[in-house]
Amino acid sequence: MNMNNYRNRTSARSKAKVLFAPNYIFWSLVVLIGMFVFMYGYFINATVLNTVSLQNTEEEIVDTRSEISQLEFALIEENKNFTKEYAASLGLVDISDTVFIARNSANLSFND
Amino acid sequence: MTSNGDIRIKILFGVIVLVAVVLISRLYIIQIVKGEEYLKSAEQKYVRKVPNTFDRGSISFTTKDGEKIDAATIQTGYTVSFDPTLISEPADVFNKLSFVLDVDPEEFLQRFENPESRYAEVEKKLNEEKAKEIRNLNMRGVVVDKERWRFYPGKTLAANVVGFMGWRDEVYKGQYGLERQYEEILNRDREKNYTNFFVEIFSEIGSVLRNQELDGSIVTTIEPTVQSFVEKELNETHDKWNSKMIGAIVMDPSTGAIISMASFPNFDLNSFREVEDVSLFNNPLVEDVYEMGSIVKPLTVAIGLETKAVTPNTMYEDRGSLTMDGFTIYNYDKKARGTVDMQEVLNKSLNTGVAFVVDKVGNKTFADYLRKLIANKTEIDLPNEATPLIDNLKNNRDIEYVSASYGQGIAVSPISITRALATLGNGGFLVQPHIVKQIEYEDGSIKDMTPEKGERIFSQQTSEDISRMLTKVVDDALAGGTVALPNHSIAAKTGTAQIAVKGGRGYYDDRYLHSFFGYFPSFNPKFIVFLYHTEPQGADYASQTLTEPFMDIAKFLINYYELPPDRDLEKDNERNI
Repeated sequence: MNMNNYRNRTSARSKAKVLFAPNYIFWSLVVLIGMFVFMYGYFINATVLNTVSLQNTEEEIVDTRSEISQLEFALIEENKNFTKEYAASLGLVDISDTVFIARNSANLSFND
Repeated sequence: MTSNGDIRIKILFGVIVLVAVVLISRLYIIQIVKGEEYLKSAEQKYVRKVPNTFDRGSISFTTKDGEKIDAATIQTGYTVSFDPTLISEPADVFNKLSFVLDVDPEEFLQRFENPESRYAEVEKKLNEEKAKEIRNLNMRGVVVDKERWRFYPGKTLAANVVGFMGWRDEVYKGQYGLERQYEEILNRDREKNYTNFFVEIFSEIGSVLRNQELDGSIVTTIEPTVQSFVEKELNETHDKWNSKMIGAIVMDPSTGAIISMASFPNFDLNSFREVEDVSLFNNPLVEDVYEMGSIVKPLTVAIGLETKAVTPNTMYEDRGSLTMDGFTIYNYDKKARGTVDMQEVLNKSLNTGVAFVVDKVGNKTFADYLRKLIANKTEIDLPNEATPLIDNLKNNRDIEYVSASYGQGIAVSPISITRALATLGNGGFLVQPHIVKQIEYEDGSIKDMTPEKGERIFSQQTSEDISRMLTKVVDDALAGGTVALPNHSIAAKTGTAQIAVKGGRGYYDDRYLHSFFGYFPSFNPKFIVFLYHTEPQGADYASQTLTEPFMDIAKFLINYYELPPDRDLEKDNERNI
């Protein structure tokens, strides 16, 4: 009898575990799916925002480079006005006695 | 068990109801609360003709300091358009727009005559400031859209090299110059702009895996300040001598890097549609061939030196003319100079002298060397390179080889002859001319495009000998030796050639091509400059028309690149070197 009672009690516990286990898994899965949905939404959102930001930045870089290039070419164009005649009008003259300096040799000794 | 199942069903039902409530609420906000706003936005999208998402890689020049300047890029602006069917008071809209834009009233009101038309443009390429002003007017039916287009900040600078975009086979793509040559790299797949973000993110990885050519931008060897200076010189020379066309190449003779390539007349790349003569779009320095005249003589003498048929001191008797195969050739002035050496052949540009060299070398050997130098295309990275016309060298008549020795009877492109002439100064190597220095891919990688050094045609000794002879040409003969620089050696030679009758036989009596090449410093040169112009008026010889622009360019390059002096002419003369 005692033995039977023990068996019955053990069997009831096992049944209780079986009945309890699906609840536990269900809620775990629900939480997990919720987390994944949230993370999916978060990362998609972040990806979209970053991609848009990247595209906008790339466009801005191109626009800025374009503006810089225009300024550079304008500068080159302006430089054409710096002629010899203009320099002469400012009182500048050609160097009559150009002196070039050069190292005589690659000798490391200072005794030469 | 049953009660647990009920709870789950209830929870699921609750979730579904919650989602439904969220969706219905969202729909209510979109349709009822913000309906007007979205409707207006939708109308604006409807009237937009094409969403402008134009994108393309850039083409940039490189300054001597390594800084990149975009020569072809993208510019952003705004297009103002309207949907006539949404505007009930055209006069009112016109009045408001005319405060910001210069709108023609008749033209504006004409757009309302067609009742079915739903798109009309008011202005394109508007700046951001004005675009904002129009947006702030908040007019129904009027749309301000962002647009992007190809833009060339340098305008005319290196126009034939950069090229431009146009419609071909119903596709908008590069038509000329680098725009055409590097279409595959510069082009951005338009469809990509409409695909979703994941495709955008993974497209580059995908193209790597598929081993496809990546999107990129190209960096050229063109130096913008040098290019600008050379174009200015060409412009002035063209005006001074009223030539039909003029062109120039500045190249690094040891690498083949093109520092400047220019021709005149040219055109503005941003308004190429206004050009009437479409032949201006071609690059004559690459796509046309000419009989180059006496600048070929140094190549002939170098072949003589290389084959040891002659030395700089070899003497011959110049009788002023020479008859062979029933033809008589003359020196340019028909004068005889008696017994002279090879230096005098170059100093006085004697046709009989180079004929003597060919005779000593032998026709076959001479032709073999000439073929190595000019028979093949240079493979420069520009489209439509011309094939040299040297079929006369297949002929058995002596006159053909002699004519070729002073640059007549064979026709080559300016880039081809520049490469051949570079062998004289660079130790004899046939370099590959190139415009593009590197490709910068969008994934951050960089591909170096510098070609390897080509075949060696002349020995170092020949290169030094011919360079010394050409330096004497500048120091003693060119303009009577008056233009030589005291501290910088320059090796150069002029050429004057008759122009062949187009589509016929023989030459025009009154049409000439003047050419000029020079490299400096004479030994281990940093630059080779080639100049030519066709049909100049008022002067017979290239030495008269091209010496000044050449020396201007040479002096500019020496100063700009701060080339150190390599000699002291006064002391050299004293030592009689």
